[in-house]
Amino acid sequence: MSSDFFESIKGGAEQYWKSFSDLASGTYSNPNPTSSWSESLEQMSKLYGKTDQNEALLDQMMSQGKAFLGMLENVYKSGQSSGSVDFAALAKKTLEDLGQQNPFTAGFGSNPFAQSGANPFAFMQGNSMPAFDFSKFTQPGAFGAAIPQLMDFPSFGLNRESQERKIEMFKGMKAHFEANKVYNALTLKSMQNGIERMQSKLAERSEPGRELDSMKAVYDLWIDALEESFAETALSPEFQDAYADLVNTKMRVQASIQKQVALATGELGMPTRGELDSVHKKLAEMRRDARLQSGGAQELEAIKEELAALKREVAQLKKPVASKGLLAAARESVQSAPKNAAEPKPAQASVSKNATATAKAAVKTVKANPKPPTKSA
Amino acid sequence: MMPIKISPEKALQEAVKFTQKLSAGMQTLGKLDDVHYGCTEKEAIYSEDKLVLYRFKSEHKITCKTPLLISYALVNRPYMVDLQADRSIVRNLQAMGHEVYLIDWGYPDRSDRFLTLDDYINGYIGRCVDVVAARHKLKAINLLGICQGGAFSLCYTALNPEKIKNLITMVTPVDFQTPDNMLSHWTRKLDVDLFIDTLGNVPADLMNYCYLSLKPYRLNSQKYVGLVDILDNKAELENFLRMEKWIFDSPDQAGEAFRQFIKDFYQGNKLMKNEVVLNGRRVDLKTIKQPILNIFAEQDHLVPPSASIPLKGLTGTKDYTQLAFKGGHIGIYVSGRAQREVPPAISKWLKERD
Repeated sequence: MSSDFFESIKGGAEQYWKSFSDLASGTYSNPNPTSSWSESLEQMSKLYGKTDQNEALLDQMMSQGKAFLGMLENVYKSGQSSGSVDFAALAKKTLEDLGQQNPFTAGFGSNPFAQSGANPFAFMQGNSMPAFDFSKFTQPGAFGAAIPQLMDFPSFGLNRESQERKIEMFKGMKAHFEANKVYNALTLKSMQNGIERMQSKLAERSEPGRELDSMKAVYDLWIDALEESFAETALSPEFQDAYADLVNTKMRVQASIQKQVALATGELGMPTRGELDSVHKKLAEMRRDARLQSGGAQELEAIKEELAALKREVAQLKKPVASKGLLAAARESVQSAPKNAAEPKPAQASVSKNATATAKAAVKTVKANPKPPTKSA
Repeated sequence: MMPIKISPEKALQEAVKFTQKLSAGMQTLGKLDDVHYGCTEKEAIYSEDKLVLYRFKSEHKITCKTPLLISYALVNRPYMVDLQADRSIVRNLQAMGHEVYLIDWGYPDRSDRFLTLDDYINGYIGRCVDVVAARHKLKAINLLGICQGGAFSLCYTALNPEKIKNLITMVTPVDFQTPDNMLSHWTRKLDVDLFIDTLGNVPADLMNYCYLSLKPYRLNSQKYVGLVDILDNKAELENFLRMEKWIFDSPDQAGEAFRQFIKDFYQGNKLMKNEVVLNGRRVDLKTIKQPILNIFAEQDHLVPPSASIPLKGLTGTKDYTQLAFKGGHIGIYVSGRAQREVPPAISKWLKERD
């Protein structure tokens, strides 16, 4: 490496840090040219501080911003040394920088699951589940190496049940550890495929006029490649199995821990989750019953109202029959019946229809029998 | 020809510019107040357990006889339909003469763990429909179901056809097992009994995590790098923060309802097969004879179009309209295009059937 190269890198870094120092109005007055550019964001968040409103957003933005700046810096350095940007080398370096510890990492070192690692249930471990690294059990000579064998021993004696529960919990943890490994391996594979996909996307842009002329454009394309690759993996049968195993094993561990906690709190005379669930279940059933009864009562009231309305209409119909004779009353009833009741009241709608039908039936009866009805009819 | 045409100097310039934008944005961020959501004045007209039924007060003349009830999904908060003044489906519908009601499911806690799908659909939705119908002295009202709320609305209408005049489904899954449905793919082999027996209710954070992991790089990284471009714009930044609040302000899911939803809808795909049973009554989509407007989003990664489109042909209606929206699952409520296209389409369709 020539001394010119180092000088040029140093010059660029100094230039970046000078710009940053200017931005900070001299508050950050001791820029170290050897610091990475992403360090500037750390300084910046210290300068401006955080509020309740923006803290989470700032953390997320800074974390992704650092990754993006890291990418720019890598490009700057690799470009200075070779005169062009070698994406494959850049991506490889990123993976090396990460030490491949967390395969589920996004664009040049940023971590899409920063809060909880690759395992979507890691955040649930919280205080309830201690971090348990089963890989240590496989180290030669380790005391823990014997534990897997011990888990297969039968339990007996006074503490048999308690021992069984603990063994169940350990077995569950081991299964979850294995499931986690499979899940991580698949996400790593998807990222490696993403690099290949990115290279083919870059190849498509080798034609004149389609070149990428900003690092933001490279970054966006890189995200596209990673997403496409992840979607392919995530929709595979292997991933479906791995995802289900991850969740199911996690739930088994969680359930066994909860069982232990319930026993412990029960011994202390505290109410357990199971007891509360029973109460809540009964409460839900009672609420359902109460609404059913209340709904039934309302329905009964509605039927009573409809019946009363029917009686009133029948009484109305009887009056003209008594005074004018059946034929005249029926004709009158037909004429007065609403022809197009656009919006009848629910209880009256059926009544009006009944009244019309009754009247029409009466007219038909009269037509079939040309003799005028007697008064007694 | 090299595909990346960036000189080291240009990379340096981009880094400086990025830092400048970030620095300016930090100052804007420091001045921001807490964001508010829900722009339209509303009144609670009915409540039960944690549910509240709201009527939006309108400054406009109501010209449509039949009111519209919105049934949102359980998995997010319903204020997405009235997020802010210039992004409000509710406000736009009001301006076109509609009376709008909204069901707010609230935040279930462990005492709600045993709520079933029947409690939600025939119970809560049913009573809200009755309340709205009674207020307007109508036998049937219009129902707009969104996402999971759309699936619920289909079930409710199938079981209570006399109570719904027109049915609108928005980004509603019907076929839960199409090959491009990632969410469905992941849930297919879950031991959901173990899951609910262990968790009781499903924590909101877990649900959010699951949604983010459907597009992990875009939603966890790219979105925040892109944010730098709008950091100097207070209004845009507030819009962003409002969306962030909505995305992460999620209720826990009542355990039993979740169990049944995953088992019957995702794992059993029973809505498609007319095999969903609620409190002993089978949901047969063929009993839906009402006019249906089915709106889906072409770039929806949560409910892909392939999950919504099959509704056509599954119901007994002769009046079926389908509307494809150019956008995603969230954009269909809040994008500028959505404001221009979705409420007018709904309004026109409803007015033709009022």
